[in-house]
Amino acid sequence: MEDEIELKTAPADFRFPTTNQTRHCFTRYIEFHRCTTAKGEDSNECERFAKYYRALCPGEWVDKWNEQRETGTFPGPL
Amino acid sequence: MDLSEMKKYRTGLRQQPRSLPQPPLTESRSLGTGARTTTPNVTHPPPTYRLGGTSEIQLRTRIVHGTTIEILRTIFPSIISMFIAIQSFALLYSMDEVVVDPAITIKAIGHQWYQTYEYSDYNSSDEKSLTFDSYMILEEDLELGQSRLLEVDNRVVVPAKTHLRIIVTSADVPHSWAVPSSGVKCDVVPGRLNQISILVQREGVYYGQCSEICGNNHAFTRAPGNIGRLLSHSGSAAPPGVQATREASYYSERLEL
Repeated sequence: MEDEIELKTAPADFRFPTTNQTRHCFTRYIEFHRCTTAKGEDSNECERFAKYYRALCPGEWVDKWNEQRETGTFPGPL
Repeated sequence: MDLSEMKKYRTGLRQQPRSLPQPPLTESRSLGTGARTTTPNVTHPPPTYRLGGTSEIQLRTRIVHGTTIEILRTIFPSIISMFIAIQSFALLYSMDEVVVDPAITIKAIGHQWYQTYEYSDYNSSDEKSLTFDSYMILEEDLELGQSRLLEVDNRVVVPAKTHLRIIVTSADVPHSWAVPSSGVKCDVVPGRLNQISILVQREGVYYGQCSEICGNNHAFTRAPGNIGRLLSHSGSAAPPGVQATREASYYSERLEL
């Protein structure tokens, strides 16, 4: 049985051309949450940013940031 | 330049200092080698020592220094080095830049003393879809034919002939993710995500080891045992959609245990 699998992941971002992608992951996370704040929680346009930050950021980091957002201690410009 | 001026440039022992005792008052006759024969009761003035040690030979010595040319011969090679260095640095930094969009992102998180791999490209929410730990197989648990100190229990399966992005980080101390047979080594630092771009040319198993001292069992932390598995049937040139082979799906089932 043949299955079409399309491989897609966060594209290479020209803003972060070097080896250090910490800022890339953080920026995508912030972009997603700013998008949901601006356009609403269920907007499809923001899903793209979600895929990007989930591809790049380790799960522990995302969990930690989610907790920080809930407690209001998230250090980024949401 | 006359003799008095030349004397300013003389090196070596000058005239015999007056505090030293005078040499015996003997006749000095040159034998051509600088040796002296002695004859009693003959007075001669004390010899003056010139460069080379022979009193008969007056050697012209002149120290020349040119400030301008010395400055030039310092700056000019520096400029040449700078031209070479600029090209080299441009090449060095461009080697790390990603030119092609990767097809898949795999995260490798280093721990003491194992690796955790995450495949999160297809997460629909923040929960981890495919995460597993990869420990080295101990010697007593090896099966026949397996390599000692290289095998792991859960291998990282990657598609071959596909641009991969591997994001490495650490959960505790610095490690280094190295797969020599793929030409990859990247230091892994806690709090930082480092990106490696690879293209696995051939199917096969690629072994790697931790390359940064990370504690007691550093020698037993394995980077992958990667398997490059073709996810597409060969014969087509870079198809946008790929087809899964049975091997790949079998392997992904095993990983989801």
